[in-house]
Amino acid sequence: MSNLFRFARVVPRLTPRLVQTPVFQPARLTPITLATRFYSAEKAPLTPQQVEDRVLQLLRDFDKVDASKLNLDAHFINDLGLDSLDQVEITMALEDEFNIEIPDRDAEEIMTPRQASEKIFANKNAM
Amino acid sequence: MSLATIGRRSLLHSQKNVLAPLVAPFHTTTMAQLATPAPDPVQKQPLIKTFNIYRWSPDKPAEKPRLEKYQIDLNQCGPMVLDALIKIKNEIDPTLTFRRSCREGICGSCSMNINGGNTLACLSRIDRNPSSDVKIYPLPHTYVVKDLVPDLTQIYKQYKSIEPYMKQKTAAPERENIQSIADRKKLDGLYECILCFCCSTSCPSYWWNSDKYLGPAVLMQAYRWMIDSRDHFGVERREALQDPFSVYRCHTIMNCARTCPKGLNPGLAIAEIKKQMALDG
Amino acid sequence: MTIRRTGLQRDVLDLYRSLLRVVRTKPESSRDHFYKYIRSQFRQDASSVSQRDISTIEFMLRKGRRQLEVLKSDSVVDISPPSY
Repeated sequence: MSNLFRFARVVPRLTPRLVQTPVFQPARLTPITLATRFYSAEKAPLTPQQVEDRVLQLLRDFDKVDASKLNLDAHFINDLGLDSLDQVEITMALEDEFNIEIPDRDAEEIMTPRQASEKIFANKNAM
Repeated sequence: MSLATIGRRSLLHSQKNVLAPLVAPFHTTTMAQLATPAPDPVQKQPLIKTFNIYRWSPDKPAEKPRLEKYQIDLNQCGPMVLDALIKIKNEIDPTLTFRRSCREGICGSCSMNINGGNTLACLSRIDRNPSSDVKIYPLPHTYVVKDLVPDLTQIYKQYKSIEPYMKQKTAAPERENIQSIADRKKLDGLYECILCFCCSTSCPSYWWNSDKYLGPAVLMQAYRWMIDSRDHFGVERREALQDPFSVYRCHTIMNCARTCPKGLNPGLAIAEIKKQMALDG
Repeated sequence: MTIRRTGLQRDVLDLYRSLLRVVRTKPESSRDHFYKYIRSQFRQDASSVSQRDISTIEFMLRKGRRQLEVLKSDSVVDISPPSY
């Protein structure tokens, strides 16, 4: 535990969730998770390229998405044939993937992988 | 007399007929008396009354609410609107849904809008003039759960918010909380409320501001605890209501007092709260 | 590029999002049940009601919000997924 606190002090923007409320996220507090967390936070911040790649990969794994139509500017609804409920699910999946919380009003604006990447890249907590 | 009319004889009359021969043998009865049947009781002509009842089902949410007509022979039915509703449910349409329990005006379950006024179906006499229909709707400005069943969640939440129970600052007494006769008298006209919410749902101020205005029923209960000599939190109870909406949306329209099936006057109780709040300073 | 939505559509999607967020607080083993339940309820209702039938959608929203309140309770740890 003392290790964690030493690291926590040097990591400038550790997500508040991780520090304050271990009770609600017991699974995330296993030593292994902590090690990876520390590693990714210590590492250089995410590059736009990394974010885009992970966003596209996440969409490729989404079973309703036709991977052949997928590109950075493919509109979820107009190009990929998804509906508004799917769009909500995608933004929720992005939250999980990058361990961030996207406010509802921001989330509803995200309609393309590029918009998603920009929002995530702007969020300093993304990891 | 046709067979059809015999069939329509009221339960009361047919019971007399059934009982007569059973009871008779225990008395000194001559064969002659047994041989002549008892004279037929006076036959009542059927008195058909039409009930127009609001229907809506959550199972078919896309279907619009509608009025359904039911015809009842009042000579085969109890005197109150609730009797007619139960008869309809038992004999004509078992899907008709309404709340009822005590059938004597003490549980507050069967409050509904009958012929334009909020009242308890069990205390509301059926007008025996067959020329006019009875119109029955759920309590106005409530969300409907089904047919005549209103969703009272919001009102119950508000009732909970006024902490409708005795609160004391001293340790609980060893025996009863003693109250003088004069102090007990202050609760008359307040404690009788059965929380049927006829008043709150008849109040225009409550219709438009039910999210923030507490409404007559809840405020009268708030007052009931404020003036209870055994409760120690009168000042705090009034402080909790000190905002533009909780109490002050009452504009003394007085629909509450007019509609109350128990003859209470919530408007007066609200006026007393306002007065005390002014005196608290 | 963004799609304009009415207040009602926004309310529905916000409810959907809130429900999905609540699932994150549930035990990992039962989350899939919750997801299946929520998804099937929304898909079913969306296909059975016309977009213009506002009063019906409002009714469903109220029903959904009541269910959200129930699901929020810590004592709710699992749900039986739809059988179809």
